[in-house]
Amino acid sequence: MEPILEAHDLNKRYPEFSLTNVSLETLPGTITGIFGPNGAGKTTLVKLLAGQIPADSGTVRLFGLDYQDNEKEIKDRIGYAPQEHPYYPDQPVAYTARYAARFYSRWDGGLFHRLLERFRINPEKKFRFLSAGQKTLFSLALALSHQPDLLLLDEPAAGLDDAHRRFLFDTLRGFVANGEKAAVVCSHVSEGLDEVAERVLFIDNGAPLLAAEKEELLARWKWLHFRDNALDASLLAQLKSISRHPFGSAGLCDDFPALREQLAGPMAAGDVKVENARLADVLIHLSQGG
Amino acid sequence: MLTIIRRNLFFYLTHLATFGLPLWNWAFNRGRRGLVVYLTLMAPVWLCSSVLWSERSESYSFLRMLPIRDSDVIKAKLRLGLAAVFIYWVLLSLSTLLVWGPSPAFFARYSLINLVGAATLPLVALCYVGIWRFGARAMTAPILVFMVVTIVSVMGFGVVRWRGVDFGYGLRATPWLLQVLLATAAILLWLLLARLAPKVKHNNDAHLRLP
Repeated sequence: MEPILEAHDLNKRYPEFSLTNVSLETLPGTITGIFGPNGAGKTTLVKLLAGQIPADSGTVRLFGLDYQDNEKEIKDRIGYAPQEHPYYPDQPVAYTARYAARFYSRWDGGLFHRLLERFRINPEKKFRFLSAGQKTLFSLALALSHQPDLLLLDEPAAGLDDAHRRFLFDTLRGFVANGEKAAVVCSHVSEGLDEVAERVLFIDNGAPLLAAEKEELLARWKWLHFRDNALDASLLAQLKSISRHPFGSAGLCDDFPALREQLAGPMAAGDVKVENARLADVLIHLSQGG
Repeated sequence: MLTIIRRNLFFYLTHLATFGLPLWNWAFNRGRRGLVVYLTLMAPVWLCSSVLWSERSESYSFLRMLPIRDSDVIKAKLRLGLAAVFIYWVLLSLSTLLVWGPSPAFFARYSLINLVGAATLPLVALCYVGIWRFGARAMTAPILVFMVVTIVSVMGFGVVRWRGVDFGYGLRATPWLLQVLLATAAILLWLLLARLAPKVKHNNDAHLRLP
């Protein structure tokens, strides 16, 4: 299957920050999550993927095309919702949509107005007077209304209430459901987008930490809760982020299948309990150690 | 490209209206005959102001999201600037011809209109390139300073003229070849800036921030 998005060894240097050697591949029918702490370089990466800024080196190809020769064709097929909203602040949101509509070949005005209605956004309201959440929703409506083949969403859940966050997750699942489209979302893990992402890329300090299928990752990373003296020293040495709690200790294991045999005895005796790790646990461990 | 031009047109048209009304009044009511000299000298101020205010309301990061090439945005803006300079030149020339007819007085003012037009064309392109290099916010002060300096100079020129020195009339002897060469140089400079602009815009992101 041909990837919808391919990025190889992307580099972007700013005076105080650099994004180095980031690669990413997104297949049709999948949602890729880019996660990382504040200042990790997520937004810079999404801007590079969306053709907002040029890379110093490396390649980005979308739908098999590159930006240099096919900028217009690519942008017609991507729905990009940036974290900072660049829309005309003193114009009604309907004006911005009408303006955008003139550039897209597949603009669906009906869909746009249905989305605004759902988000309870008055089309005649000036953009600057929308609430933070409404601004994010407007951005999402704009990204969806030209029927893109790839969604690139930067912090799409920021400022959303629970109902709209649920709507966003459902929309993303529905968007990729036919297996022809794909989505890339970047976010803090805590915002819940790890629920919908099938493939994850962790970045920190401008560099990739880990790229993997989420299921595969979560099958490997587990929390082990164990009673004192339940594990021998060699097993303990393989655990990370060990902390004590009232009934023993807990440690994060990054390759559970490899330890499964060794843990079979203590697990059967009830001295070790295994719990799924969350993506946040993995990210915190990878970025901060411990 | 037309969509970009249409959006920017508002600022150019409102400026043109405030410039054109006194010109129209002068041309048809034959008021103070020297007014056209002042209006000619003030044309760069009006045009730079049109560029500045249209660019301050522009969002290049939004345009970059849309399926339009940067080169098309540049072309639209620079061609709009070129068209605006041309329209001001035509209006000033026709008004002057209407008032004086083909007389030495007309040719003196016409020379001035040509010289100012030749200087304004690259100036307008330079304003755009400056905004793509440094951003509209950073370019506001230099453009405003230029506008104020020009207004003060024109007022100073008015005082000199009041004392009997007719700067505009003195230009009647400007050779036509020199005027053609200046106009050609202006167009070449505009073309050079238009060629330079995509690289400037591509390599700098200050203009992507909202003013």
